[in-house]
Amino acid sequence: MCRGGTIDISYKDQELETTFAKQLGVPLLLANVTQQVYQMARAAGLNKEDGSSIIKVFERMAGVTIGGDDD
Amino acid sequence: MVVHDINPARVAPLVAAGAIVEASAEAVAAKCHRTICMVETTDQAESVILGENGIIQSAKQGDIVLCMSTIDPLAARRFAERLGAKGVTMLDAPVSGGTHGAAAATLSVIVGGLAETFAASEDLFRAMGKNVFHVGGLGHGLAMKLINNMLGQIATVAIAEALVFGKKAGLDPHKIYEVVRVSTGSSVQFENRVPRMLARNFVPGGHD
Repeated sequence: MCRGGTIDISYKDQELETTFAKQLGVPLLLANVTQQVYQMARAAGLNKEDGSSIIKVFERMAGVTIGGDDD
Repeated sequence: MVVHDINPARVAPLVAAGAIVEASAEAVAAKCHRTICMVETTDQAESVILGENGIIQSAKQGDIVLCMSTIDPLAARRFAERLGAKGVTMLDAPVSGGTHGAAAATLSVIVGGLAETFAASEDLFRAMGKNVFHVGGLGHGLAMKLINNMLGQIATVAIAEALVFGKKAGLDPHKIYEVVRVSTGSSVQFENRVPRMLARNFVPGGHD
């Protein structure tokens, strides 16, 4: 369970996951795509926020917000 | 207990509780039979374990090093080989459960390495964690931790994609949570992440 970890910590773990898989010659499809979504969050300045802030990456692409006063 | 941190403020509560503070990892290992290293990156672990003022400089034949950071499994095996040349054994023992689990001693501890070294270290793991697993040889604790984390990260992205899709379809995100959490799309990540997303609570560190 990675509850409460920051975007940066998860990105670091993803770097370990994908590097290890490359060393073993194992294809990792979803983990690599997922790491790029975390990288989009980092590029948007969400580095030190909780992993739940991944929602903001999708919100910005779609032009909507989840939760808050509207919902 | 003998402790060291590059930030003295970090060990102050332990010193107040009676721990002895030392100026380096080398000095800690000189006084201890079993030394724990818990840092953030592979480079930091290498520095603490194999570096100039690292554990390897003073560790003695028969001593044990417990590497509890989440680092590169192949690097961990390399550290263990270097320690092994001095007759020192190492376990990789990453933890899961966050700062909340650490404070409550309810962490999962996922251990790789020799069974006899695990047996000689288990009391320390049980003091920190509720679920202690010995999963195989050196590096296997880390491999298991990475696979667990990978699943959580993939689920988080899938959840975010689904919530935004649902919102665009005109659904109330609170209703999505209410329905999915008791249906086939739910998961531990869904239960943990969605309430934080709905509450716009993005503070890290287990403040849930």
